[in-house]
Amino acid sequence: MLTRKGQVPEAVEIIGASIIIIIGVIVLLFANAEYQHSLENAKEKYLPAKSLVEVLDVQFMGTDILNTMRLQITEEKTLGELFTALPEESSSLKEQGLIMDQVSLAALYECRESLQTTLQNFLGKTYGNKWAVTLMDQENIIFMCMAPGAIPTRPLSETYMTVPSLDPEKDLTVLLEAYP
Amino acid sequence: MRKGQYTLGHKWVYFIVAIFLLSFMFLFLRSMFQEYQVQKTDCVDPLLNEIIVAKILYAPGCFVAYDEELGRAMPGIIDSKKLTQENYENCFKYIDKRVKITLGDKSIGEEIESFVTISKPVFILQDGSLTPASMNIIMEATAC
Repeated sequence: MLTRKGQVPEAVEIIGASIIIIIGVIVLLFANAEYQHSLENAKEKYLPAKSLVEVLDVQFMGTDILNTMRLQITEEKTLGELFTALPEESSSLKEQGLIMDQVSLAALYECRESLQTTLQNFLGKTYGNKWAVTLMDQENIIFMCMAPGAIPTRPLSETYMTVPSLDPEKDLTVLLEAYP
Repeated sequence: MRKGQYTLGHKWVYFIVAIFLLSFMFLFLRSMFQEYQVQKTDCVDPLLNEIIVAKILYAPGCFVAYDEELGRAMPGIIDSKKLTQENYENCFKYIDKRVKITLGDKSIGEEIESFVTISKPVFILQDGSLTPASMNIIMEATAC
């Protein structure tokens, strides 16, 4: 085909356009890979480290809290029965060395080391040292026991159950929390 | 050029190739998105894991203790008599995933190379008394 003076031949145009398309695709692929890489870096940097507690572990917390209430704490009492006796029989439980008055938190009572160890032995394999058991009377926290070294934060997951109280007019709520 | 003769110019060839390339890229992207969606919906591994754990912790037909007087299962309490290989095979007959359960000294199920382990605090019912224990449920690692 005849070309005017100064006009680029069509074959050169087609080859040039094809090369530009290929270079464009390669640049886009590189840009996408770089974007993914920087996104992963940002995720690692700013998102909290992966939780030690498996997601499946916290999906079946119902049986965990139920079993925790079945745990034999003294010869006569399970943890559920101990909670039922709170706060009415707190002085007797304090004498047995199971609970103590509040130390740092807003709860009325906290667990002593022996009770904490019993609970840690039971819950520790699932939740590590990232659990807390709380007994509540409506909005008031009566009792709290946390894993040794646990730092209370926004829980990863939580579940609750109602236990009867010695006072027939009220029910108590037990809360099991797993921290991330 | 003779009268009535049609010439396919080089520009036309270029546009035909470009249309082919663009169609190919469109179809490739479409199939990529489709494959991603199918992968997302096809992956039932997490659901299978949940079914396995639920069967172990709740199903009286598997390992959970059953109170004859009350006529109900006792979730989270494992009957040591039921924790047998035969029971495991009956229980997981329709689940296409290998599982291994260890509770105290007992271990039932199948050997797994790549796995995830879940620990659950349970009670073992043996001779009428309850003993606290930690049950390890070992399942094949999720493929998706």
